[in-house]
Amino acid sequence: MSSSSSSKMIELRSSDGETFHVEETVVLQSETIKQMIDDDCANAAIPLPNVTSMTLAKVIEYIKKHAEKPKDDDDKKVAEEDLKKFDAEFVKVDQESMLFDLVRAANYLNIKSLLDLTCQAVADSIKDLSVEEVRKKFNIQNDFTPEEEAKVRKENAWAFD
Amino acid sequence: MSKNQVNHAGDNYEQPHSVLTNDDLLTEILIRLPILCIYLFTSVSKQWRRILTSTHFTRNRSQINNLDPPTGLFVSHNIYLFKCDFVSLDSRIQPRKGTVENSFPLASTEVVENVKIVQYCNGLLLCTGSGWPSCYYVFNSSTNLFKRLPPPDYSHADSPFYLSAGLRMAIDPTKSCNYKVVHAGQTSSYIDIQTYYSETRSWSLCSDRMDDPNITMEEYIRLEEEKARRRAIVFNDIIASDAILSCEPTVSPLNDKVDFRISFDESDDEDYTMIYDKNSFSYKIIYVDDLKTDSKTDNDKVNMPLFPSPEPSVSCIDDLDFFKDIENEFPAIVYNDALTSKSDFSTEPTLCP
Repeated sequence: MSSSSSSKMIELRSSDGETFHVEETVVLQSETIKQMIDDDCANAAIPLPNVTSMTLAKVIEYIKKHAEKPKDDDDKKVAEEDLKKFDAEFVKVDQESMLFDLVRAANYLNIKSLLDLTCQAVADSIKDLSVEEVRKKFNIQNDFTPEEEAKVRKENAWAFD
Repeated sequence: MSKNQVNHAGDNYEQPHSVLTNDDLLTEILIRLPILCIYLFTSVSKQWRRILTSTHFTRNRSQINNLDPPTGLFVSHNIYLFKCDFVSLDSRIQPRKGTVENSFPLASTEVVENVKIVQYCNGLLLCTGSGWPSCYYVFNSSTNLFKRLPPPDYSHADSPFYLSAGLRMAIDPTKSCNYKVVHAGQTSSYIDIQTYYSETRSWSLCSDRMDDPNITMEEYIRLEEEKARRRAIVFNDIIASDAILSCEPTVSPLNDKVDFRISFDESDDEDYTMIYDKNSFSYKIIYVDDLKTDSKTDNDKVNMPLFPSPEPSVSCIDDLDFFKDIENEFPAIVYNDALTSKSDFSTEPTLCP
């Protein structure tokens, strides 16, 4: 590993061929990439065949923000608040599919905090919906027979009140 | 790759995103839903039902903090009268005034007065009514129903001075919707333990009893009192323990919610408040003074055990297979005690408003 004060840059290549240069200290938040670097597989650009450039740009925005180190304790509190605001804004994406892409990317890159954040955002988006609305929103086919569905609903009838 | 499936033009139905077809990722999302959704969404699809009702899911979900914040308070002004107002902390839930009276009709011919709360446990309240022999009741807070337990078995007692020395209830809705009530009875020479199983609706006497014919009752009580103070007699964190279910020495944070203490000290008649979490059905009694001075941390306290770090010294759980059966029979682990009501309250007298 480089011991120089300026951090080593790592090159990431998205599924659609775009390359991104990110500081190593930042990119280490991804356990997957950390493993690659530890295994010395990061000399050339790291290919990320599961992540599109659009998603990767968002992920990098996230890990960059989360890599910022507060200078002192006073700063720390401000930074925490700031980070909370950032997270809240970060998951307000125009397209729902982007949120899912981020879930998948966070999972693939193994960035726990991002996976937590995005999964919670998806969960929040359906928690006030009815069963039918959830199916519609996610294009989920109801694969119960009417009898089966009635039975399942009956089991949880109290929850429908 | 899977992107192509997602945006397959021409289909009437777009395929669900690959995240939703991946059990692991879908689990990551669903595990963060509030408790009500866990039940509602079992009918979305077979995949959702399979995930939401798996033991694994429930166990992992219980590890996530702050999913189910308290939704309200039960406020009572006298511990001997079971008369509570429900103060809602969640604007979606209506506050209720005095829904539970201290006197309530259990059946057409029976009125129970001066109901006293003995213990709360994950949504169920264990109560006693006035009179002798004592009657014990279990109150399901989500259905507002009482069930009267059959009296403990006194027939084996070889002494006319058979008294109830302690009563504790245990339910861990994540494991089973059946609860147990442990009763300690005492004569002048020994204390014995009986356990009520809601599943069989019967008491079963523990074969071990604490014999010591050489000491007097007064000494015994004093001794037990001391033990209770030192929390040495703690019965029984085994009831909901993972160790029994899986034969592995795992530790679950829910274990320490289940406790049993033989207590002789009933002089608590201060004002108290019960924090009630409608979602996770956990309670905590806090004293009004605490509430005033320390209200900020109440949320954190809700799931804390009343008696931390119990060291079980008595055990009378002899039918371990019982727990395995529960696990097999109820793979859909139950968080909500309302489900309990199906098996336990359905044929029982109900509380009529």
